[in-house]
Amino acid sequence: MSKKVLIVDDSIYMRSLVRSALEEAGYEIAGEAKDGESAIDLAMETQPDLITLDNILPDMMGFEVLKVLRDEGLESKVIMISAVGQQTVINKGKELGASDYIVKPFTSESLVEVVNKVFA
Amino acid sequence: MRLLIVDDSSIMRRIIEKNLKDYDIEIIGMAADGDEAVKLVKGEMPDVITLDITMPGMDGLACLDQIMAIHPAAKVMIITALSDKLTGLRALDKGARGFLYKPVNAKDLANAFDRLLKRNKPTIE
Amino acid sequence: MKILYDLPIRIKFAVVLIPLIVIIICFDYLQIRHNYLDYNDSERLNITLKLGVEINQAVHELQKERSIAIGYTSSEGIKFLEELKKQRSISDAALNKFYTELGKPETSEVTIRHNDELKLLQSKFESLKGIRGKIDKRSLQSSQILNYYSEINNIALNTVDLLINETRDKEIAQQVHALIYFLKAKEEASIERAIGTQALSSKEMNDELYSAFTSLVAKEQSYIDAFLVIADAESQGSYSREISGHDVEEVDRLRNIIHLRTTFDVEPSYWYDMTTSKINSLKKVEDQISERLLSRTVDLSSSAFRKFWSFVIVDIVIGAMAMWLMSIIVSNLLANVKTLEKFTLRISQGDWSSKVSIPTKDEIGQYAKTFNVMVDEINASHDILRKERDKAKFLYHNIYRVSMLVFKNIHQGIFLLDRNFKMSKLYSKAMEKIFGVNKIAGENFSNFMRPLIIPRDLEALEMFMRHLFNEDMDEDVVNQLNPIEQVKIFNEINGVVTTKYIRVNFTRIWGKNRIVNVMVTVSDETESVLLQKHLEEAEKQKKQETEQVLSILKIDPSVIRGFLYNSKKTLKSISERYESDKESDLKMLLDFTFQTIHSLKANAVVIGLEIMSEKFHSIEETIEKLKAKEVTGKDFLTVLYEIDDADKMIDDMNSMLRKVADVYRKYPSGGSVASNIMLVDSLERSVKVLSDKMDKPVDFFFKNEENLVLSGEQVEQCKDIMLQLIRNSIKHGIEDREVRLKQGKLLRGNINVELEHPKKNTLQIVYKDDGKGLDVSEIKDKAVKKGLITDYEAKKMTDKKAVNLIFENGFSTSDKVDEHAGRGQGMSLVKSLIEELKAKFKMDYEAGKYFKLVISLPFKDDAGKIEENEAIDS
Repeated sequence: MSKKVLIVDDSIYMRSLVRSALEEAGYEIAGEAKDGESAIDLAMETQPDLITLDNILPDMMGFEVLKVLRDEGLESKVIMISAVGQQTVINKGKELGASDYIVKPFTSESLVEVVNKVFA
Repeated sequence: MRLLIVDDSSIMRRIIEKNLKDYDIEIIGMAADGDEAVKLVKGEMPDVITLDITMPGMDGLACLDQIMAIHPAAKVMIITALSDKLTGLRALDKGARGFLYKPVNAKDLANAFDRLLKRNKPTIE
Repeated sequence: MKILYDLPIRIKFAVVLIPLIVIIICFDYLQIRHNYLDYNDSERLNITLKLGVEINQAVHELQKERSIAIGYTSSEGIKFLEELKKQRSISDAALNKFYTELGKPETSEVTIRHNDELKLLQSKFESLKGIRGKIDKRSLQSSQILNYYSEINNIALNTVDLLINETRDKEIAQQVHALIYFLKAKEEASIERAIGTQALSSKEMNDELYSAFTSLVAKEQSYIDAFLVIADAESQGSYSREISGHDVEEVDRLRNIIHLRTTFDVEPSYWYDMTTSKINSLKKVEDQISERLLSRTVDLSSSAFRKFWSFVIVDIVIGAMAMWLMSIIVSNLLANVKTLEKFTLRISQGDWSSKVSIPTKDEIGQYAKTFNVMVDEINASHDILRKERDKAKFLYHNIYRVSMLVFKNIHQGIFLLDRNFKMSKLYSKAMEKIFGVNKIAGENFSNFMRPLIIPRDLEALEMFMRHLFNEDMDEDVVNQLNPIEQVKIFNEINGVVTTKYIRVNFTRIWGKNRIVNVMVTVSDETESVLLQKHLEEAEKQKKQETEQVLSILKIDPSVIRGFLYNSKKTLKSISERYESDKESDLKMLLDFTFQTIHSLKANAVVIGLEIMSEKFHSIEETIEKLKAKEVTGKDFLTVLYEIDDADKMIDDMNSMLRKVADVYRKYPSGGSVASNIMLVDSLERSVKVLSDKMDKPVDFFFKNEENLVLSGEQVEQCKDIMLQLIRNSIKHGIEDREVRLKQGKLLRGNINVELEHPKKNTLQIVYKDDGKGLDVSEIKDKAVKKGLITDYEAKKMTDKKAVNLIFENGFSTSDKVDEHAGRGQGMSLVKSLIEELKAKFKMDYEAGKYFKLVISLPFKDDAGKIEENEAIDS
C-alpha cells in the first residue's frame, strides 16, 4: 500500500513540483495545502503518512503548524522544507519530531531520496 | 670535727692536742700502727685523720689505701719525718689532702689544718 | 626555581619584561594583520564585486539574448530577428566591459587567484559564437539553446559566487549570499521567460517542458524566499519597491495561464515584454544591491584602512611611550640597584668613607637613607673601636715590650705550663742559659727534665705536676712536695757534663674556676751553692790550721821542736821495723807500735800539743781494735797509713813552726808577742785545769786594751807569778759552790787579769778575783801554826801586817804538794819574783768580796807596742 503524502506549500509551483516528483516515485498524494490553517485541517482529515511542510507559510510558520499537529496527536512523519539560511528553524522542527528536512531549491531526485529515507 | 691521730709517737698527740685547742676538734682516738688505725676508722669514721708514713707493721701508704677504701670522705693529712717527696706525692695520689713535715710547730700545724679544712683563720672564741 | 631566585635583578627584569613585550608585539602584529586583512579583504571584495557586476551584466544580457534566441527559434525565424541582432551587440558590449574590467591591473590578484574559474568562464563566453552560428542556421532546438545559454549563465553565476563569496565580514558575506540567491532567482526568472516565450510561441507545452517550467518557477520562488530571509532591510525594501506593479502582476497572471496549460492564447511578445520588464526590475534590484555592496565594501576598505593606520599609529605611540616609561623606570631602578651594589661592595671592601646617594623617594631611596644612617652609626662605633684598639695596641705594645725586656734580661727562667705540661712559647731568655738548650717552646716539661734529673725525681715531678693542676688540691700542700725545689741537674753541653744546682718554683694561674697555667720560675743557684760549700770547706780548713798554729804558739818553740824531731824519728823507726821484720810476729810488732805510740801520746799530752795527742790516741784505738783479733799484714797497713798521716801532720807542724820562726826573725820583739799570747793561753788553761780539779767553776778574763806587750824575761816571771796567784785564788780565795750560793754570789767564780799603762814607763798588771778575800784570823792561826809568829804576836798584830804574813817564806796554805798547786812556795815566791822584776806591788782585798794585787813594772813606751795582727798573719 502506498504511503499518503500531504503537501504543504504556499507556492503552487512548489506543490506541483513535489506532487509530480512523489507521484512518479509511487506515493499517493493525500492533498495539498497552501497555508497553515488548511494544512492542519487537511492533515487531521486525511491522516497522511507524511507531510512535506514548507516552513514559510502565509499565515504561520511551518514549525508552528507541526506543533499544533503534534498537540492534536497526529503522528505523521514530517519533512520540513526550508529556504536556505534557516537552520535554526529546522532545528526547532526536529525538536518537535520532524523526521528530516530538505533545503529549497531542490531537485525531484533529492526530494524522493529524502522521502524514501524517511520511510526506510 | 672528729680527728684520729695515727702515729707511733705519743708526743705527736700531745703537740696536736696542745695546738688545736682553738679549733672545734675532738680527738676520737690514736693509733700507733696501721692495723689499729684501720680498725678505728671503721668504727669511728673520723672526719680528719693525721697519718704518719713510717710506722711499724703496715706502712702509712698501705694504711692510707685501706682508710680511703673504707671512708673516702675522710680528710687525711700526712705528717711525716720522711723528707722523700715521691712518697708524699704518692700519698696525695692515694687521696691524702694535706701534708706536713716533722718536726711540726704550732704555726705549721695551724696553717695545715686551716688549709685542710679550707679555713683562712682559726675560729677563736 | 632556585636558578630564577639567584638571577641578578636586571636579568629578572628581563625575564619578566621580555615575554610581556613579545606578547604585546605578537598581539599588535595580530591586530595589525587583522586590520590589514580586513582592509585587504574589502579591497579585494570591492574588485571582485566590480568584476561580478560586470559578469552579472553580461549574464543579464545573455539571459535576454537567450530568450530572444529561443523565441526566434520557436517562431521558426519569423519573429525576433531584429531583436536578436540588437541584443547580440548589447551582449557583446557587456562582455567587452567584463573583459575590460578583467584586464585592469588591480584585478590581476583576483585573476591569479581564480584563474581556473575565469578561464572556464572565458572559454564558455567564447563558445557563444558557435552557438550563435548554430542558432542562425536554426540547427538547434529551443531546449538546446536554453541548455547552452543556461550552462554559460550557470557557470558565470557560479564564478560570481566563487569570486565574491570570500569575505571575512559576516554581514557582507550574508548580503553577498543574498545577492547570489537573488542572481539565481533572476536566472530562473530569465529561463522562465525563455520557456514561457517558447511555449506561447509554439502554442503548446509538452510534459517535459511543463515540469521544467513548474520546477523553474518553484526554484525561482525558493531563491527569492532565501534571498528575502537573509537580505538586509534595504535589499528587501528595494525588492518590494521594484518588484510590484502591473508588469509583475501580469507576469504572475500569465505564469498561472501557462501553468494551467489550458489555453496559450497569449502573445509571446507580450509575455516576453512583461517578463522582461519584471526581469529588468529584478536587474534594477540587483544593481541596487550590487551598488550598495560596492559602496559598503569601499566604506569597509576605507574604514579598515583607517582602522589599520590609526591602530598602527596609536600602537606605535603607546608602545613607544610604554617602552620609554619602562626604560626610564627600569634603568633608574637598575642604576639605583647598581649604585647600592657598588656601595655595598665598597663597604664590604672596608671603605666606609663615602655615602650612597640615591635621590629617588621609592623603597630603594629609603634603603639608601637607612644605609647611610647605618654607615654613619657603624663609622661612629668603628671610630670608637679603632680608638679603643689603638689604645689597647699601645698598651699591649708597651706591656709586651716591657715583659719582653723583662723576659730577656731577668736572671730567672720563667715560663708557663699548660694542662698538658707543655712549656709555653714565651719564656725568659735565662732558660736557654740555665739549661743550655734552645728547644724549649712547646716541649713537654717532664720530657725536658728527663735527661737532667734522676728517674726517681722525674717520677715525682710528673706526679707533682698532676697534683699542681688538680683544683681540689691545695697549692701550698702540693708545693710542699715540689721534688725539684732545689735539685742538682746534670747538663751536657758540647760533650762536657756539668752539674748545676737549680731552684724551681711553681705558681698556679687561675682562670675562671680552673687552673689554666702554672707559672714556673727557675733560678740557677749553682754559684751560691758551690760558694757555700767552698766556704764551709775553707772554714774547716782554716779552723784546722788555726788550731795547729794556736797549739804551736802555746808551746815553747824549742820544746815543740824537740818533740816533733823525736816523734818523727820514732815513727820512722816503726816503719823501719816493719820493713825489716816483715816475717816476724805481727802481734809483737803491733805491741811494739802501741807502746811507742802510747809514749809519744804521753809526750804530746805533757807538752800540751792536743792535736798530736788526739792523733796518737786515734792510732792507739785502731791498734786496740786490731789487738782483739787475728792480725794480718793487710790490717797492719791501716796502722801504717795512720802513722803516715801522723808523720804528715808532724811535717806540717814543722813547716808551721818554721813560719813562726820566720816571723820571730823578722820582728825580733815579736817573740814577746808570741810569748804574751802563750802566757795568756797557759793562764787560761791553768784556770780551767784547776777549776775542774777543785770542782769550782771559774772563768778567766784577760784584758789588754792597749795591746801592751811584756818583754821576754818579764813574760816568764809574770807567768809564774800569775800561776801562783791563780792557784791561791782557786784553792783558797774562791769559795765552794754552796758558800757562794749562800752569800748570793754568782755560782761561777771569776779571775780578771788586766794590763794597764797608767803613766809613762810603767806597766801595771792588775790581778783580781771575786773570792772571799783574806781572812786575817786564819792567816794569823796558820802563821802561828807554822811558827812564823807567836800567839801573842798574833793577837797584837794589826790586820794590815797580818795579811803581809802570806808573803813570808814558809807560809803555804796548801798542806800537801800536788801536781797543780805549786810546790809549797806560795806568795813568798810571788814576792821574790816581783822583786826580781824590779817591780812594786800593792795588795788589796775586801773580806768576802775580792782579792786584788797590782804589780807595777818598769816599761819602755812604744817599743813594746806592735800590731798584733800583722805579727801573726805574716
